[in-house]
Amino acid sequence: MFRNDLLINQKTYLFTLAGLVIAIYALLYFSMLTTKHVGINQYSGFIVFYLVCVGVVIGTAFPALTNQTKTSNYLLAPGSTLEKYLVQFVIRIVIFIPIALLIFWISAHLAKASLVPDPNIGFNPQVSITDFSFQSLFNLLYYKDITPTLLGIFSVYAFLFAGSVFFNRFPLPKTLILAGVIVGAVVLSFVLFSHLIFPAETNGFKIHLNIYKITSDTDNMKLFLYFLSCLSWLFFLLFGYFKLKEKEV
Amino acid sequence: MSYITRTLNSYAMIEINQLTFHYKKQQALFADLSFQQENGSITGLLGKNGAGKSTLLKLIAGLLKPQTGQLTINGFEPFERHPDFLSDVFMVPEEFSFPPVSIDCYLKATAPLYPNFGYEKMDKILQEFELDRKKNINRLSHGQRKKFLIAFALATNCRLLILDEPTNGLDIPSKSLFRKILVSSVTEEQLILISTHQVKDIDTIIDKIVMLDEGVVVFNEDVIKISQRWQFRSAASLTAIADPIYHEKCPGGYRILCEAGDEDETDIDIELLFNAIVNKANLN
Repeated sequence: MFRNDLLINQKTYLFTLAGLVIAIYALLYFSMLTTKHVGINQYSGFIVFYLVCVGVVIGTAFPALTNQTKTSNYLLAPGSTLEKYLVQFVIRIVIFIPIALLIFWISAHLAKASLVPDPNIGFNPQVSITDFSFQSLFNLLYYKDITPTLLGIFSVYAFLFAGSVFFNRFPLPKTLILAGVIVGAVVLSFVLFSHLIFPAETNGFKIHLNIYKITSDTDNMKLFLYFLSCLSWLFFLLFGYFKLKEKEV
Repeated sequence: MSYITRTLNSYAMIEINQLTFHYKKQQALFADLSFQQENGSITGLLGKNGAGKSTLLKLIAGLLKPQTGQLTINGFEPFERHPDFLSDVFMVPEEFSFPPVSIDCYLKATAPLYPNFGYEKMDKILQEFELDRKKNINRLSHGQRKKFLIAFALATNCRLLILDEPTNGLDIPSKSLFRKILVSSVTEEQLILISTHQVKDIDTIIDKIVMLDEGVVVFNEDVIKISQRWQFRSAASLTAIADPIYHEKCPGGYRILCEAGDEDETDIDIELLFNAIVNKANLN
């Protein structure tokens, strides 16, 4: 199935990667050229935008499930459901994400290297453009633990991946709408419970989050976010698999 | 159960017992469907629009899950979509799509998924259908793509071939070629299930007729037995035939279905037989 997918979609994959390289290089280069200063804060904006683009690629996994005819072909192709699921998982997540991150790293360095110093305006790329590194991005985070942060991002991607199986038509917009609904529901429930439990401290949507220390370096919010990021990806991946297994045409 | 055990055991190729199925928020399409079919035949599945033919084919292929009852194909439950099951069943749907690649590329990518794929057979059928291997499939006409799909289906050598309206979109010479290729390439181990409204396209190649009406198999008979039991005749007036079972007016007189006597067997007029069954003529 893996070979089948690569042979059939090789052009699509190559064009996607080429498009990504050109787009991110151009974006970084022209941004550096016009602003004459890019620090880690600017890079963080680019990387967030870039991770959203990566999410688009992941959220459009299982392109064969977007219409009935293609779905029939796909489901009847000789291969187990697990095999079909893993093929998309490996291509869109295991292989694509590291390649995409590598593309960003190379593009950032290439864009900086492409800039020509201009002594007339005192522009020296080596001084005013910070060298990009992923490590420095983590220093911007509130909770500095790398593993839960990566798992959190992975959970978002797993959610998009599962959404591409769950919805037949326009899976990505529908998944994003669903995400909005879920986040909205969570916020509303926080507001509701905050009103019920802390009526004195709560005013409209201005809620009170009761944060307290559990250990010397862990608070309850951190523990909640860690649990959420460490477990939700597993749930979404399993959900996607069983949804594919039960898919009907 | 292993694939070898399944293969060695003698299963009816299609075994359906008391199957029920309905689409969401709709009435039951099949309430208590039972049907068995051995391999080694080309079976025509006929029925009015909405009789459930395509749904039955989808259930057999594993694209739909029955609510209750038993459905096994070659000993497999289709909806489990076991890889061994999928590599031994091929469905040619009425509507189909291909990736934008050449025939060669498609064969290179997809043929290895079918362990019994006959590459020489594929070459031969492609030549007979006059299809160029270098061409992009999506740049072919609808009829040519259909011919490619049929060629691919036959070359897979799957034991169960499901053809839903296979002659739709084919020109007259291609229909005739389709019949010739189908008959010459089918083996005793295979079952070809053809669902169609174009009965004239398949009347010379099928050896069994199954008719569905309102979710029930109302007719299931070998072509040989049909020829032995009934005669299909044309006459200028009804007075020429004693006790016709069913008749229809046609240009120049009547098409008449009657009991076979000692006279010679006639060619089967599937359309007349179909109409007789649909109009509940007494065929017993």
